[in-house]
Parts: sequence; C-alpha cells; structure tokens
Amino acid sequence: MTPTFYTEQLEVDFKKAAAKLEKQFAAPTHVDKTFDRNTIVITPSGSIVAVFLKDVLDPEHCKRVYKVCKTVDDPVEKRPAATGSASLPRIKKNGRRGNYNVTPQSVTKIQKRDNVRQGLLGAIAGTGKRPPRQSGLTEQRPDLLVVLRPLVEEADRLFKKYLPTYYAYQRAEVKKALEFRQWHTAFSSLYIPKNFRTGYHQDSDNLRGALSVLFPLGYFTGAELVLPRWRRAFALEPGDLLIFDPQELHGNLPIEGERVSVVCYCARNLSGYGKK
Amino acid sequence: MSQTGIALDAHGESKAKATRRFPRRNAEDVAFYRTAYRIAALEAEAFDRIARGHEANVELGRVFNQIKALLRHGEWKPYFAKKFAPRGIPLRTATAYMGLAREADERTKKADSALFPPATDPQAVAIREATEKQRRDVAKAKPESTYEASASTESKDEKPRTSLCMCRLQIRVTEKQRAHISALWRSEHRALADTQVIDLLTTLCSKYEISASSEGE
Repeated sequence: MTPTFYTEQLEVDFKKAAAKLEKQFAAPTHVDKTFDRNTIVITPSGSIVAVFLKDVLDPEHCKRVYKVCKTVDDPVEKRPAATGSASLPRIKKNGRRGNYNVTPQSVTKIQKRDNVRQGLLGAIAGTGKRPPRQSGLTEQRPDLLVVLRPLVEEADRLFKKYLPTYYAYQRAEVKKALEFRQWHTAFSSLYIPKNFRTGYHQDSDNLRGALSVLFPLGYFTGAELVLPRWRRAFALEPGDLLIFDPQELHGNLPIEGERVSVVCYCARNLSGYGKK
Repeated sequence: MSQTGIALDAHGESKAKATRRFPRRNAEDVAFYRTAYRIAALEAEAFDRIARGHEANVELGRVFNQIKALLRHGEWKPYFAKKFAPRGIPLRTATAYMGLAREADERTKKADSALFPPATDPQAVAIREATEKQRRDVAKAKPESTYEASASTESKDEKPRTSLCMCRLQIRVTEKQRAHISALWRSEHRALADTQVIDLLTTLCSKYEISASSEGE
C-alpha cells in the first residue's frame, strides 16, 4: 500500500541567520514545526530538502542491528564542528600552544563521559594528498557490515523508490568506484554515531548534490534532527527513515537514553582522484 | 488476484480483462506537481494584485520574487514577457517592485538572529564553557616557536638558524640617486652592498642608542 504523504511547502528562508549557527547546539526554540509522519519537505525554489518515511524498517531487525552497532568505539574528536565546539590549538604538556588545531581536550572529556562514540564503515573521502581509502573499521569489524546489510539494502530500495533521479545520479557516481560500493546500493560509506548529539554542521565529505539516508536505532527520546534554515525538525524513532540533503546545516536536540544512528551516503572524490 | 496482476474468478480461471495498475507518484513527481500548482496559484495571486492597482506593489514584487525562484535560470524574462507583460506591467517596473519587496523583507530578516537563541541544556552549556575556557587558555599560552621546537632535537654543535625578514626603508632620494641604487641592486655587488647597508644601519642604531627594548616607548 502506498503511504500517504504530507507535503510541507517551505516559504520563509532563514539562510543568513542560520549561517551564523554553525558549531552551535540546536535548541527547541529554533524549531517552528516538528514532523512525525510521512512528509516531503520542498523549498521555495521547488527542490526537495528531505523525505521522512515513518515505520518503514522492521523493528525486530532494528533491535538486532542496534545490539551490534552500539559496540562502535572510535572517539569523535576529529569532528569539531559536529561536537559543537571550535577547532582550537592544542595546549601541550609544557604549557605551550601547539601548531595544529584540534577539538578542545575538555570537550573531548565531556564526550567521553557521555559515552559518545562513532564508527565509519566503507570509504573515506579523498582529501589533499590522501586518496580515498577503506576505513580501518571496515577491516576490523566485518560483522557490522553483515548485520547492517539487510537494513541498508532496504534503505537503498526506499531511496530508489521515492527519489529516483537523485538515486540514479548517486548510483552512477558510486559505480565509478566499484571497490568502494556497498553491495549493490548507491552508498559508499556507512557512518554510525552513538549518543552523538551534534552541533549544527554540514557534512563535508559527501558527494555534492547527493542525499544521505539516516535511520536511528536504540532506546531513546529526543534527538530530533533540526534544519535551522527552515526552522523544521524531524522526530525520528527506530524504524523511521529520513532522506535529506546533508549540505543543509543540521544538528540534534538533546538525547535521553541510548541512540545509535546509521547514515548511509556516498563519499566525494572516490573516482579519478589525483587525475587531471 | 494472481501475482501477474490478472484477476481470477471463483474457479481460479483468469478473466479476460487484466487489472490496470496506475503508476504511483514518487517524491520527485510530488515535488514537480507541487511546483507547477504553486506557480499557477502564484500567477493567479499576481493577476489579482495587478487588478487591485498599485497599492499592493510590494506584495506583487514579493510574488514575482517567489515565481522567479521557482523558474530555472534564464526562464524569467521570457516567462514574464509571455505572462505579465500583456497585462500592462513592463519588466523594469516589475524589477522595481521586486526590489521594493526584497528591501522590505531584508528589514524583517535583520531580526532573525533573535529567533535562534543559544541552547541552554546542560550538555550544550558544558561544551560551550569548555570551548571558551580552552580559548582563554590558548590566548594565554605562549606559541611553540619553530626554532625552539627544532632546538630540542638538534645537536648543540649546530648553529641556531635565524629567520630573516624584509625591511623596507622609506628614504627620499632624487631620481638620479634612485637609478644608481637600482643599478647597484641589479649588479653582482648587491650581496656586499646589502651587508654594508645593514652594518651602517646597525652602527647608526648604536650611535643614537636605539635598541629593540626602546621600541614602542
């Protein structure tokens, strides 16, 4: 049965004000409307910002995947914008200022206390002189990929069904670098943040013009995904799926409980890296 | 109904007529039709405002701005010529109305920052305070200079490296003198002349008792 969709036609754009919010945390006052049903969000210029699908993933399967995914254990210190803090020079043990900017140590401690972890499966985007490569976790934890596969393939199917043009573009890109393709999907990478309440940020490693597919797992309340530019939020629960534009500034409201989410995306600079 | 979409009767035999399956709309189709309906609705609104005269110029400009945003790049002028120019509104007038609307909207948007107050939950406050503390510590801390960092690893026999910088002196000279100095600077004697000028300037500094510590006093 085809689900009924609510269409949200956006009219007011808070682009200028929202641009100043990067690295800040989302607050409930930043939101005018929260969606908790099947919704298509369309900008004033007619493009799609997000498609929210309610209860489309098998809850039992979500529980099984959650039990495995919650074991991810990498620190989040390499994402200062997403941690809601500025990237600042490190203070060395001799009390002097280091030459490289990092997430402040005190912020890292808070994240550690709150059991904030992450994991990345699949491709890491090529940056600078470093070509694209498989993440370390891909080699270390093949069990994660095995467990995630049915859900990711279902997410891929829904992506193809509801956004065929975006899907075709993304699949064409990922097919250029087959060594990074996740099974037969349009994704190259799976990012798994755990208890990560992100500050407003944009996903910089994603293929430009492509969309990300997100589904949360676990036992939690809150953690709504906020798009401040449009003052809209999505109340995601296990079983729900959100397809959204990761180039839009986005962040989470506070989380209560334990939440693991899976973000499926196509990394940039996968094919033809370094060629002219 | 069978899996092939052919309806079966009570005895399991297929009826002559296959059931028709209508294509379902995906999100992109919904967005496309939504945009088309919206342009039509906005057109109607624009016609309405034209009919009301010039009292609603700003509102008309706002509607034009919205339609322009929905059209593709380069489509606005032909679209306007086709749809609205026959109604007696020249493009330049419409552009002026659109400018008025933008100005009016800009005034209201300046108050937008008040719509995004900082988050006040404990986690956000803790991270904000930790970041500020780090910022203060960084401001207080001395930089780890390149020389100091390398000195700790290098042997003591090696001479310390001194960094050089450019010094531009603003001295008034005649055209002839400047030509001579330029010629000297282009010649092979430049390195020697350079050293002699530095020596002379250093001597003058000591003559007039100028030291680095007196700088800025």
